[in-house]
Amino acid sequence: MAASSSRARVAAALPLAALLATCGGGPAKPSPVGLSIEPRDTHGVLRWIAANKGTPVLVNFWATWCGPCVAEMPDLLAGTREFRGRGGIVVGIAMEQMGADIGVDEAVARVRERARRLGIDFPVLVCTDDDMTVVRRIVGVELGGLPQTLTYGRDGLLVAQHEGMASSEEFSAMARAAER
Amino acid sequence: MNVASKLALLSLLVFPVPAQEPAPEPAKPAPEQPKVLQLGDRVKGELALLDIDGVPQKAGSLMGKITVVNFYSIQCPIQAGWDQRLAQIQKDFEGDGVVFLHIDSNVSEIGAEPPPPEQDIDAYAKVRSHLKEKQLPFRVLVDHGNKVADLFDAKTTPHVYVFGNDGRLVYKGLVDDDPKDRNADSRSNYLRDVLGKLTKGEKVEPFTTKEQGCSIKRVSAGRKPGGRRRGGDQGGKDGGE
Repeated sequence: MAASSSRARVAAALPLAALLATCGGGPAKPSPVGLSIEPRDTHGVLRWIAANKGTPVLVNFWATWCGPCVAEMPDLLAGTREFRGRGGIVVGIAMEQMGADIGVDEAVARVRERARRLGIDFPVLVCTDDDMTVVRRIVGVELGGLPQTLTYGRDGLLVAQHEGMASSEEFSAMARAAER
Repeated sequence: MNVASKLALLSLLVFPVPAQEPAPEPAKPAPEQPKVLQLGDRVKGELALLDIDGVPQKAGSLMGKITVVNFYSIQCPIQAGWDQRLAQIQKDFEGDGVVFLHIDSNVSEIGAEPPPPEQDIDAYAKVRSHLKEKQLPFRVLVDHGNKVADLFDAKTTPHVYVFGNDGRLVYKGLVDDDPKDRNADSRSNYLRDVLGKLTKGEKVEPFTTKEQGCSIKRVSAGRKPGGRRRGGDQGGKDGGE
């Protein structure tokens, strides 16, 4: 795993923790599987993660214009296949809006087309906040470059952060850490 | 058996001679850690790079009393969001003798290696046309094999480094905290503020901000001389101190 990642529980995910507290401990929703694409603002992204409390979640920030993000996608798919088979959730957060003068519909269309070509078979949320500073503040994590991967444990707390491309083995290790 | 012999035998019984052990092998030196530039360090050596005309340049010699080094991309929309403000900062401080260098380390933009000199290939035409089209006054050097990016531990584009009068690194991170240029009145202008202090001769306590941008597309470990993904391949004498 890259030096920039951490297996230790990171206490920085306070916004999500607070959100989880307000979501209550109701029955967990069935794990979302298969490709689905929908636009969400950053608060909506957090609500989506919080709605899956009780299940380990791996969150991959990417974009169709981001070469390293696209390049690592086969490794993300391979490295998390078993994790998803055990009920773990993988969700992609597409940051299409950043710097590009495109609307939500166009962003969703680009993501859908690229996701199909890449064989993505997990949900993708198209983040409608196009300013990473805003996303950082709301998510409560110092996100650096794309791609970026976060994993959340069953309790909804951040377990690991990986900046830059990851290998299949690294994705697998991050997913396992979220299951502990 | 005389007394001496008895004592010798007794000593063998009481203090058995250990079996002959092979001499311990000399400890292997620990693998050298990749040298990474830290706050307060100077760049050592010349950092030989090509400019976008394919002319060898010695970045170390280009570095003036105060120098800004930015890791650059022509494809990254996040970098593009800061381009015009970086150009304005350059315009505002060049007159004070501040040197601005942009380094493109993305293998996807410049290739893994320079084109063979016998081939008349304009390998950096896209970079040149990008600068011309956007009217950006940037001096761009190309970092094949991301050696300088590794030395600097640069992660994204943009990723800004500022060296003071004494050549020591005093700032590393963001241009400012307003990537979309929406909060001109309230943003933290890290780079501009640092340069303002340095050019007035004021002391700057070294600090960093968390970078933000597109990950630098590095040459994969297998294709890189020495096979290491990060650091350790600074090409001889170049490095931090």
